[in-house]
Amino acid sequence: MRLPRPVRRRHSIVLTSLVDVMFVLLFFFMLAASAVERRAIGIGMPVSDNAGPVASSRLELDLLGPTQWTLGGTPLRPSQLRPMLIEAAAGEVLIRTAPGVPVQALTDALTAVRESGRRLRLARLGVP
Amino acid sequence: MKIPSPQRVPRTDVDMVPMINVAFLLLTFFLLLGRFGHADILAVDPPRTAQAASAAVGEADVLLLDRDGRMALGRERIELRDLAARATAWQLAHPGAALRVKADAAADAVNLLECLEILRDAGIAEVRLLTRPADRP
Repeated sequence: MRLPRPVRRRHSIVLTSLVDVMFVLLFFFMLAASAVERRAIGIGMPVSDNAGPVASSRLELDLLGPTQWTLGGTPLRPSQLRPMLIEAAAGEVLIRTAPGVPVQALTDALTAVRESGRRLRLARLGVP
Repeated sequence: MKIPSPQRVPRTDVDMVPMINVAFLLLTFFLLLGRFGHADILAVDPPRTAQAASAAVGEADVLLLDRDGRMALGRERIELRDLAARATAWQLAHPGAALRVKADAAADAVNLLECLEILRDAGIAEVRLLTRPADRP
């Protein structure tokens, strides 16, 4: 006579609690974490009244508007600044900013001057 | 005599192992990639730059300047007239340290320069302007 085999009970681990905790952690880190990369550029402090002697080979970059820039009195587009700085003689650059110019335009000018390896100074246009 | 074996009950539980694997993968991804910090008390969208050094995260003291000219130092709103005193106190507490400035890309740059002049007069020698990477085309 052939007897039926006893039914084997599976001893599996209950994963439900683990999954619950893991999803809570996952949602927490998804919502709390920020993946935005932050960068920083060093900016020269504004020129003071007693800032010392002016460098003989100083270039003056005037930001008159978001895209209205002049370098040594010559109008230029923002995209032209980098090649013009490469061509110009070495020396520090004084960036003078007019009212109404956004920080983005100033940052673009700062980045171009920094990349040219020149010393940088800042001033407000019309303020000594 | 052949005794019929009991009918096997079909398994109805879902195999959760692949889902757990994926969830662990996502969890590890967010753990490693994410950066934690306080939300700024002013809404500031920093300017974009193509190339700049990465900024250290986790330091609390950032001078915020929003597009309307409002400012905050760390977690506290301040007025322009208070900036000199606050900057002097900050400089004494952090001698030689660079103050990080987070200005809105649309803010008037003259407001930023005005703040920088006050910081310079307060003895802060170095300021770093926080930016974010430019969107790639």
